[in-house]
Amino acid sequence: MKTLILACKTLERELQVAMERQNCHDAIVWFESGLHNTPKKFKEALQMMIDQATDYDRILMAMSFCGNVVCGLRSGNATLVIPRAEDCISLVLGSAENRSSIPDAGHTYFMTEGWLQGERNIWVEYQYAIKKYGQKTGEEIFQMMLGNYQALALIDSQVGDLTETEIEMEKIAKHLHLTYRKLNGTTSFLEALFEPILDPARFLVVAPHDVVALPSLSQLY
Amino acid sequence: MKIEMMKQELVIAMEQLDEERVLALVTGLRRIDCDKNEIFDLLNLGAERVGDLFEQGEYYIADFMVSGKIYAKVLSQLLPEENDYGKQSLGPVLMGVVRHDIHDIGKEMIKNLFKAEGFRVIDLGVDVSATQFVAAAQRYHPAIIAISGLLTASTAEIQQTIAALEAAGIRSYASIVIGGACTDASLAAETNADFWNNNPIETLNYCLAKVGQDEN
Repeated sequence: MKTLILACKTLERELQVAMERQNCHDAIVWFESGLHNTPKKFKEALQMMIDQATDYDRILMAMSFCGNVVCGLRSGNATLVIPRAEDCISLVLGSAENRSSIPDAGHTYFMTEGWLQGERNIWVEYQYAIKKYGQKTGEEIFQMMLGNYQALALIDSQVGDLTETEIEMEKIAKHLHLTYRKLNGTTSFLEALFEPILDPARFLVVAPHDVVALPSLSQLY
Repeated sequence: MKIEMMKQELVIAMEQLDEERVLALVTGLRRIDCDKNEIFDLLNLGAERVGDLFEQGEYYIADFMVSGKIYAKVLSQLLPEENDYGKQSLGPVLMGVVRHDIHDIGKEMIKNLFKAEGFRVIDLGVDVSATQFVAAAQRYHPAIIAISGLLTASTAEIQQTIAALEAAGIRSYASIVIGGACTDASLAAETNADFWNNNPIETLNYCLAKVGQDEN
């Protein structure tokens, strides 16, 4: 079965580790993290790649529902496999249950090392705002954006040394007036994407020439 | 001709996020009796260009926020008469961000617009459960219930909230409008929401028409 992987750059390190552990060598097409800010463009880019992948039997989406950006995608000639995760946070935490078990998860801004390397992450945004609008207005803007958040959490996906990242994250948390936390993550959800038999509770399988439907909460893992 | 130039300049000033210039132009246009809806249309046009520049990578999220701040200033400083004079209350509008979601920038923006038009806004805040929406609706009997969300999971929360409101018989007197980053036309169709839009003025105009008191 000829398989193509469509993957978000945010999860690059985690995906590489998951593929190594599962001895997977399928072709990967990477999508830039910044596309999260422009869902319409992200969806168009995904659809274009799916439409071009006419000689593949199966497309594995190494990403989440990402703000429902995958909803409405047409599967084309291939079977589409999408993790039933509402966003990348649930993916790297292993499950939605793991996420909801984190105290005050709803008021926590989650990041991974991959997010920190993204071209438009929250720290890049903060520095831009301060430079363009000055300290006072920049801080006001971020109070509006993050006023309901209390913590900044670094998810350690267990894919490498995070010593430097931790120092950076603590500094960012201080600037953003958030409490810094570190959480344990995992690549197990991504690894399961490469299992020969997929768990239907964790993965949505869309037949060829079908459309990805809007999920209900009970269908998201 | 001068008026037309002022209108064009207003769009450009909004696009360039020049707050001082926007406020001066709005004051000037109001002085010559330019219709406020037209002013909002021009501001929206400028805001759309901000969105285009964001998509092109020129602007950042902070620039979006600043366009919202300018919008709010136009409302609060230059159109205060909409709050204070001549208008009767248009009755209660219930609004809130769904459970587990704390993103309220859009809600705050639309709240200001509703207040400026004379609606009595009952703001349930963020992280509002379906049960809380139903209880508040039963208490206040609003003509409009505005529900918003940003997160992926909020689409399901919106579905559940609307289902709960329907089960409680609230449809008989309230219209349900939805908005926010997680919403789109397909969610509106799926949930039978009466209206969906992410343009605050479009939503406001729908609600004004719905309560039958659109004076413009």
